[in-house]
Amino acid sequence: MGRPVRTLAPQWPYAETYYPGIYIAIDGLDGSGRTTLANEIHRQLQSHGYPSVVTGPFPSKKSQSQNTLNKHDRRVGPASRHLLYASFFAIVTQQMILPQLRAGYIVISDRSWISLHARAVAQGLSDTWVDTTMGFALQPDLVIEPAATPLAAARRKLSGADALDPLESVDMPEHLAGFLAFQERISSLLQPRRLQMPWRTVQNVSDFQEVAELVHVIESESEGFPS
Amino acid sequence: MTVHDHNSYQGRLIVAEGTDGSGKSTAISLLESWLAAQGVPVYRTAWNSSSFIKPIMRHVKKKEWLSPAAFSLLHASDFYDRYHRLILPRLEAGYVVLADRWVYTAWVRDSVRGLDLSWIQSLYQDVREPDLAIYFSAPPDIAISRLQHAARELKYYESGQDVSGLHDRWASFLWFQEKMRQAYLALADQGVLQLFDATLSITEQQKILRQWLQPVLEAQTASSSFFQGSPPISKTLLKGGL
Repeated sequence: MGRPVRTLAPQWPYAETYYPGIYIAIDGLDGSGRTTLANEIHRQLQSHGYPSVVTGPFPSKKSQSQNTLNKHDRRVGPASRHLLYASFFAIVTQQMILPQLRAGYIVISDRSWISLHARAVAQGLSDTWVDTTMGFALQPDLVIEPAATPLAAARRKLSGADALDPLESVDMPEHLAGFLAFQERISSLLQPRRLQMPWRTVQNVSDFQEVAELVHVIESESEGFPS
Repeated sequence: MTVHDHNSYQGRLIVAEGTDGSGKSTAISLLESWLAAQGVPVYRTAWNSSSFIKPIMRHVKKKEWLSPAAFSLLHASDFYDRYHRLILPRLEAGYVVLADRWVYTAWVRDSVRGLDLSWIQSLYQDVREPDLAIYFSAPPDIAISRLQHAARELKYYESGQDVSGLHDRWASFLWFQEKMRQAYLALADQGVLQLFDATLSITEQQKILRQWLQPVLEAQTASSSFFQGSPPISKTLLKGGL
């Protein structure tokens, strides 16, 4: 048995109904430290002997770089761009996440449907339409959010990139105020999910002890459903 | 987000649907030349032709990564890119848009691939309804002989091998085309598509299609006002037949 496959659209026709692994989503603001946190959880789990894997929103480096070209071009509109992200995430779900869960892995999703959805809605797309497009997506067994204020997220972004992402902005691409306003929107869109879903917040992704406590929770969960 | 009623735009949208090899692209191309020769502002668009999505489409199809959902979403991405950047501005400006496949291709193909039709239709909600949507009906053997005549190699997704489970590409293609033909015929029965006999000669087809187009385009005459000095679509011009 294991955990039931639960999808955003009820009864999405996947072949399997249960998986022995655990599906962990890392979601939060852009620049909140998701990747740092995902990699640290993965490292600690592996060092304790738990099989885990980190997946991103893209199925390959090539698809990611092609997407970046489109993003910088800025001519592709929000609906087409979101559908492209949704298609990539459908590939990742079918080709990577589900097979690994079926094999008993702890799958750490660096971005799940939750923040993909929030970004699309924050960019002006209809909530219900975006819901539809992500109907195939798995509901995570646990969501972990790196806590970050929009300003902290902007600072982290600017430490790793030349400029702020023009698509993560309201009205003023690459300006700090536009980025902050966009992250505020995302945060408010995440708020109801924080209350409805199994959700944990990490205050400091660089705090080894805080992450270790979270890893312990995941390991205890894993013991409940041995692969 | 501002919601626009794309059905109120003054341009005209003519859609050709049908299985591969049904002759719709040839017919569309001839209609485009006919309209353009008469000074009618016309624009042709084809399914799966966004220049931005194409390299991504090629990459993931080559990898054979696409589940039915991913396939559907990626083609919707292609559609919406063309829809917002290329098609809608022209419809709003009063062009005649000839579409070689429209959302019905997704309805038919993706439901044959096992996806829920209402889910597929929701992806394309609020998309402009055509003024004329024609289903080019041709039996599979004619369509296949046309494709074989073109000496074209079938591809994995085109032949439906991702869902048929058949190793032989032509056998899979035949199975897939027949499934789609049945789905198209159902849409024609429901009155969504206008059934057209695509087994006729190309010349005969054009005669009929031009007759079908006339009432659709005549209705546009009053509201069309194009490049300065250029005449609007008129009954006289459109009656210039073969």
